[in-house]
Amino acid sequence: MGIKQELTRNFSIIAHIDHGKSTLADRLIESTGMISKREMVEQVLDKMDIERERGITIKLQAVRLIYKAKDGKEYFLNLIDTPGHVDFTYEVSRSLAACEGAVLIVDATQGIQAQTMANVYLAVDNDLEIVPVINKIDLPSADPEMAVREIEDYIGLPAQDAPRISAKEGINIDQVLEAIVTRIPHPEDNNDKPLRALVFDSVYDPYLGVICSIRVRDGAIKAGDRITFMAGGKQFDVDQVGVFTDRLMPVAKLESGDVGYFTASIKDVGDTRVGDTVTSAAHPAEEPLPGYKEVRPMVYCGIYPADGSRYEDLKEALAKLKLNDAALSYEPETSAALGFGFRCGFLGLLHLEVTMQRLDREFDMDVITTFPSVVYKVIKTDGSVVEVDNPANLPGPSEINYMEEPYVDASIMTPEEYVGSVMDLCQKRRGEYVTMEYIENRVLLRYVMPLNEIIYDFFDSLKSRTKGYASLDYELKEYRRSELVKLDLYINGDIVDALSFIVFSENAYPRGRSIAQKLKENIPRQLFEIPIQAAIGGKIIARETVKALRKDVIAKCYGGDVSRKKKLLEKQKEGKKRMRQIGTVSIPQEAFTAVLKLDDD
Amino acid sequence: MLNTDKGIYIHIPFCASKCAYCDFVSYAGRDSLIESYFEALFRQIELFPYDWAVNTVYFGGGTPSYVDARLISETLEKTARRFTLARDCEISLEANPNSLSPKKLEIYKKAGINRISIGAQSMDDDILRLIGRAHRRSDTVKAAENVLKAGFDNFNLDLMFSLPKQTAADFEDTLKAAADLGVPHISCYSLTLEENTPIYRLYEDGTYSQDDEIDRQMYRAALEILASYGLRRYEISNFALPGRECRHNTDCWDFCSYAGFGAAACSFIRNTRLETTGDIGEFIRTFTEGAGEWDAASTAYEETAGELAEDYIMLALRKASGLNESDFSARFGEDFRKMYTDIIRETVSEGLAEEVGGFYRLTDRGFDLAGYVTKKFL
Repeated sequence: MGIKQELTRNFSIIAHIDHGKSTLADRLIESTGMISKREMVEQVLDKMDIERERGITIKLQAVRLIYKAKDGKEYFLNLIDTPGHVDFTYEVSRSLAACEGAVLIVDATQGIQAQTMANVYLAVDNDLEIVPVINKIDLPSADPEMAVREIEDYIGLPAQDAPRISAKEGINIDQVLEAIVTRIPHPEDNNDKPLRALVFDSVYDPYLGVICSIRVRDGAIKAGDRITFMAGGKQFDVDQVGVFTDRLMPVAKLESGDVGYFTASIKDVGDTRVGDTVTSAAHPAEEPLPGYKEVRPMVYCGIYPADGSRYEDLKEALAKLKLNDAALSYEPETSAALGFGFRCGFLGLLHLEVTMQRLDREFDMDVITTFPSVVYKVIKTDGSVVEVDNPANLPGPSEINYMEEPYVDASIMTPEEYVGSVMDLCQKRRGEYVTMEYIENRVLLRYVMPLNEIIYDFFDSLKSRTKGYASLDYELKEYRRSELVKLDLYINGDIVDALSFIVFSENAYPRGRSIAQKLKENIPRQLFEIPIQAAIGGKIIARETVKALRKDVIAKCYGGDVSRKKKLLEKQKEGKKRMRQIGTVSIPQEAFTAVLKLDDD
Repeated sequence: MLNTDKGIYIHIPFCASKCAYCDFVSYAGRDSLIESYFEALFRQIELFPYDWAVNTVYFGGGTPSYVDARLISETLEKTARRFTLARDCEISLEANPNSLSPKKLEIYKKAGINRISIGAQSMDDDILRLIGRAHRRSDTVKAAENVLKAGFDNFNLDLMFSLPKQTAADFEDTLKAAADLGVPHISCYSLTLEENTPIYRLYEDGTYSQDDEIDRQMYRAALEILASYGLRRYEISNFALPGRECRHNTDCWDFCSYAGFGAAACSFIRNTRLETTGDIGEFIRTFTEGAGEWDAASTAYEETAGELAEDYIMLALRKASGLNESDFSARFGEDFRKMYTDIIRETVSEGLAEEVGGFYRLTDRGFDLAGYVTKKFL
């Protein structure tokens, strides 16, 4: 056994959102002294503003710490950060697969949450040694013994000796470091085998090309090697290998047990998919590392520039985002209502939301999005199957034999007092009850639900029904046959393609009514009366009317009023700039956004 | 022929009490400031740098009739000293019905005031109470009689509609009662809800609501009833017997220059718009502590040709006569019809405007939607 492997520990930190993962990571980095406190930027691992604001980590990354343990030896601790949200479950599982162990943080004030469980299962699946840690003991409401009991009773891990820490206050951080060294196994020495390295992250850098984060399982990799991506199939020549300190630090080689990166003038992150195995082109391994799967978008929507003249800007912005986000897909589409835009695919709603925010912040792009859609399977009368992620592409009713929609296994953790309300919500959203498990004063509910219902404002409803306490996790389960219809919206007799969506037939009436209502509230009065209709096929199921504009006049305008009144008119007109023309009707951008938010309570 | 009249506006920001709908610069309970305010005002008038011959003077407020009438006389004297007042100069003063005594009217008459504008607002006592007016219908009747008795044949009543609890019948009653007083000029305003007024909160919390249909019904009633008294609409909210139109305001809509004096007063001189501070304390300090310029407490903004043209259109469309196309091209050197071909065609086809004898003007329906039409030109 190589001495290097014996002195290496590869681990992740797993936790529910807000249980203190990033803060603990910072403390570990500080305590190991690898980066001076002066250089420490708050939350080193979270690179992007959005992540910091939302308290989650989107792009994963690793860092190498040097720790002198109580046994007097110096260890390399490779901390691999994991994304913190349900949309990125697969990426989390690949990060975990790069480790031998995981630090499990449980918040002493909240105990186990839905995502704690989901992450523990992922860690167990990857045969990781789990090191429980009780965090936030400095808070007045902390109950560390409750957290210990929950870990023992519901996860089945001994937790009496778990470090009780406060990452925020820096209390007992050394205990965590010692536990990592003593409890987590060191990696195996497989230097004599052909190269196999797991890709767990990749980011694009304009100077180096794609920086591929890898965990070497077998063999070694160094600059000059020609390598193959076993699933992707492409070959590249390695320019540089290195490890992550506070920056990229080139090293001579990476060998089995190491966590680091390589670059190879790769232009497209799509060539370096997470979960793929890197091997030597000259001496390839026989089998790739297990667990690779192609991540496919689960949620689609149309994205259009609010200002139609900025189509090229939007195109450029998406291309730039795509550089670092292999999971994002987009292709051009046109809408009669919204003009030129893109059909974009996302891993889930959060991924979508984060992308919108990045478009806004990093590219100053104001966009209109259409209803998110899942991927439906349409079994046609001729027996062929087509996948539809855009209502506009749904074949005509006569061509459809039947349709299938994706269902997910959903886990919801909620405080006991909201169970009734959460169950009611799940029922309304066509959830099928599976189990219910009490964990202290909380309940873990499991439902099988159509994804269609989850992407439709479910998370907001869940939060509002539980005062923000409930947590949600879900995973794709299967496709099921379902009664689905396409709902169209007509404004002044003209169909608005951007507002069409596919809906469970029984929900079509209430949803059609509700959307017609929302449109009515958001379309300003015009010179003529504007009928708004929701229809299935040709059949009208809901109707609202925007009354004609009867009065738009400033009563007083004398010498002292001129500037003020003109400003008032200009302000009113400003809103009109963002109008979209549907036939003879002008529809403001807000109308498209408003219909995306429906309150079912 | 271009209208080259010039006017003077003088702001008197004092009131007996603040009305529930008012967001003008006006103060109730600040009487101790009145003397020093007029001192500052006189100083500002003296500092005016141009030698203007003026055609109109207008005392607005606030409530000009609230302060001692001799202060008004004195202001007018100072004005006549600094400016050349035309022989037929229109000199107007805004007044509240309950502060218009025969004694005051006599002083005004002597000072040269020849037009009185009475803030009647409604002839319904319940509504007057609701909108925070201190007077009652009988006060308005009395005031109108006093005005006529004092020899003012040129006077105006201000009326409001779309008021809380007001029905179309209530307003028709008010219109008739007002016209029956033999008034040659009536201004009718649909209540504009201004933020930070007591009445705004009533609408905000849903106690009252404004209905566009009823509002237009009331406006149409005004058109019809006032027409039957010979009062014709010459501007969106103004009705007069022929020859009794308010010259001061007409000049403003005709894009003439005017100089405003006092706190919060606005001026339009050549291409520049000025607005004096609305902070009465600041106004007084500026002009009693030796300011050397008449606009020392004002902000000035020189408008571009495009902005001027927009102002011009916004104001011209308020007039029943509409926009004089040759006047436009004389002022801006551009052909109105060529510049706005599409908008003109569109608004005419929508039935909102018409072109008659070199004028582009709103139709009846267009008057309901003057804002809508104007916005097209901005």
